[in-house]
Amino acid sequence: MTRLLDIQNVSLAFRQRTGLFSPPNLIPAVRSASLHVDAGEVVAVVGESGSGKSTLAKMVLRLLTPDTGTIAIDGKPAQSLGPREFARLVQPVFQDPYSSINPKRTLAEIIQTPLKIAGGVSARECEERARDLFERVGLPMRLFHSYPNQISGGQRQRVAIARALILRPKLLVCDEPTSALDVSVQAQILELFNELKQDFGLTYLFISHNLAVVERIADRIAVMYRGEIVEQGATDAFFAAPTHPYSKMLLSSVLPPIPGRPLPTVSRVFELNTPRGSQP
Amino acid sequence: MTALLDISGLKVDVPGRAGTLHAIRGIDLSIGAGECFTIVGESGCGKSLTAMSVLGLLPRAAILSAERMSWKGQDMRRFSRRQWANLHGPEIAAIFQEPMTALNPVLTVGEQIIESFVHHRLGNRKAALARAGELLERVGVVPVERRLAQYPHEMSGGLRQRVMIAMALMCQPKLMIADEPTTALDVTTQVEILKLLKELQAEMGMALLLITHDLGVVAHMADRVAVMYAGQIVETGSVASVLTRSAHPYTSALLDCLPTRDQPLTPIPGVVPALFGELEGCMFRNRCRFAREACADPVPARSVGEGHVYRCLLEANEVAA
Ligand SMILES: Nc1ncnc2c1ncn2[C@@H]1O[C@H](COP(=O)(O)OP(=O)(O)OP(=O)(O)O)[C@@H](O)[C@H]1O
Ligand code: SF4
Ligand SMILES: [Mg+2]
Repeated sequence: MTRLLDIQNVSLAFRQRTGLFSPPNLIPAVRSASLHVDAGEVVAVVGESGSGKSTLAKMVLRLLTPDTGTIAIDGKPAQSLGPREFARLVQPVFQDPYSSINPKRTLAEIIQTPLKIAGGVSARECEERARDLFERVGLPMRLFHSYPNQISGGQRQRVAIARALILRPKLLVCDEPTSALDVSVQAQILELFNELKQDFGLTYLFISHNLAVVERIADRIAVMYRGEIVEQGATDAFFAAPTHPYSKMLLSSVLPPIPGRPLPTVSRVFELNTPRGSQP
Repeated sequence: MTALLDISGLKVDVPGRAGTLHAIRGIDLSIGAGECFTIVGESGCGKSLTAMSVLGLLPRAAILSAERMSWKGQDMRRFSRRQWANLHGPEIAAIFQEPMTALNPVLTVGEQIIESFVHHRLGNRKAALARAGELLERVGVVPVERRLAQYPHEMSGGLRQRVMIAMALMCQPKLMIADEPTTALDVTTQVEILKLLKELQAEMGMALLLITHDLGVVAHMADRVAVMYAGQIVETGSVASVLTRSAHPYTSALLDCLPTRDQPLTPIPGVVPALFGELEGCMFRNRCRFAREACADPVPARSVGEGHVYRCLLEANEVAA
């Protein structure tokens, strides 16, 4: 099995200026994180807000550069890939379908953009591929030439997914792709991710704060806490017996829709085997 | 037991360029002292506008009408601005999803938290600060002295929500309205805040109107629940009855699209209808797997015993089958 994504000992700290002459504060966002995703796998990264999930995703997407450590995609160092080559391998789907697509372009244009930039196909083939994908992600064809403000949030997320797929990438990096959506729409989009995985032979790095969501879709789960990956393992094993105290707490905080049960007890007092960063 | 809040036939219309939006289309609601009533539903179904109606804080353009709308027997439809102002704080207090928008960024937490207490002349500044101190301590915003001097942006989201809760409790309200109070928070923080709300409710005998889109939150918090869809309450009753013996296809579909380990997801196809123009019949019919022709005609409410009411043509046991 090919190792599609290989993250090795990656760290990144943000520099926060406190004053004109004082030295900047270093805020460690990701601390020696290692994680790999094999071709065809779905790996979910879970953790609370500020734990470093999105920073990790952004480094994989090359929107941020790690201070130390390496990221390899399809066996090659991520930095060594040209922009077109990279775009054909990795595509993002972000949380907010409202801000991640251009409101002034039609849906048809939005979906075709990556392919137009990449070049190498006729305008006609480009449109044909966009039409195919439009249908495939469950959008009604009559909306093809509509604008984003004429469609719902769930439909916008479908547009974002179609756009991500038009270059036929191998890896989709999804950062909270359903958390801005209603539960009924979230279920639709999760099912779509599942189907597309089969049809296109996709691999996902799937970021979420919601354990209930990743349980359905992930083969493996990595838990981030304060910039570190504190636990990772196969989904079944993880849900059956999480080992890290933070994982346990995360798992016990999921509230099933079953009446008559008390709220779980969450205790924030637990030890990490490594020193902590600054606390807010 | 007489209800604190008693509403029937509440409607809210919002005129706009695209026509009039019928955002709330005749809902009944009654909340008794000390109970936790939740409203659950998807985005845009009218949860927040319902809360805003009860608070007298609807957007200017909105037009409210109701057959009955009373607070402890007083007709709220005839409230003056002054009566609304007297209501906010000692009678009804509210907290919202994003505390940052409700808090003033340029005032310290201390200054903001004592404002309504002083305004309602419940005591002087000193008494107000003493009560603020007690409450902050109680909701876990410590050390109190330092927290009082902080500005809202110096706190995390969870802490800010705790501050909002303390602030809402300052005048000992009979009813707290909480509109998605934990939606912006991490799951672990959510559990802590929900726990706190539940404890405070018991300690102070306060009623809670909790608005959420999360059926897990409903299950753990509510005495009674109302499920809203497209501006109507489609099912209501005790939480045990509604969640375990759902009679309305929408309620049961909502439960089915929650991700669980063992069952495949069953998404609800389609989208929520637009609430413009003549709206007749069941608004769920374009997505309902039981829909039939008669669903386009007005659908009466039916009862399945003990305050469990739903609005659908089906018999109560047909959905589960
Ligand atoms: N100020 C306003 N002006 C015009 N329309 C509004 C206004 N506020 C809400 N609406 C509309 O009224 C309907 C009900 O909105 P409401 O905010 O009550 O929904 P909600 O159930 O609280 O949704 P959410 O879960 O997204 O908070 C929606 O169609 C919304 O677009
Ligand atoms: S009234 Fe008809 S469309 Fe509406 S929920 Fe019942 S069966 Fe479905
Ligand atoms: Mg709302």
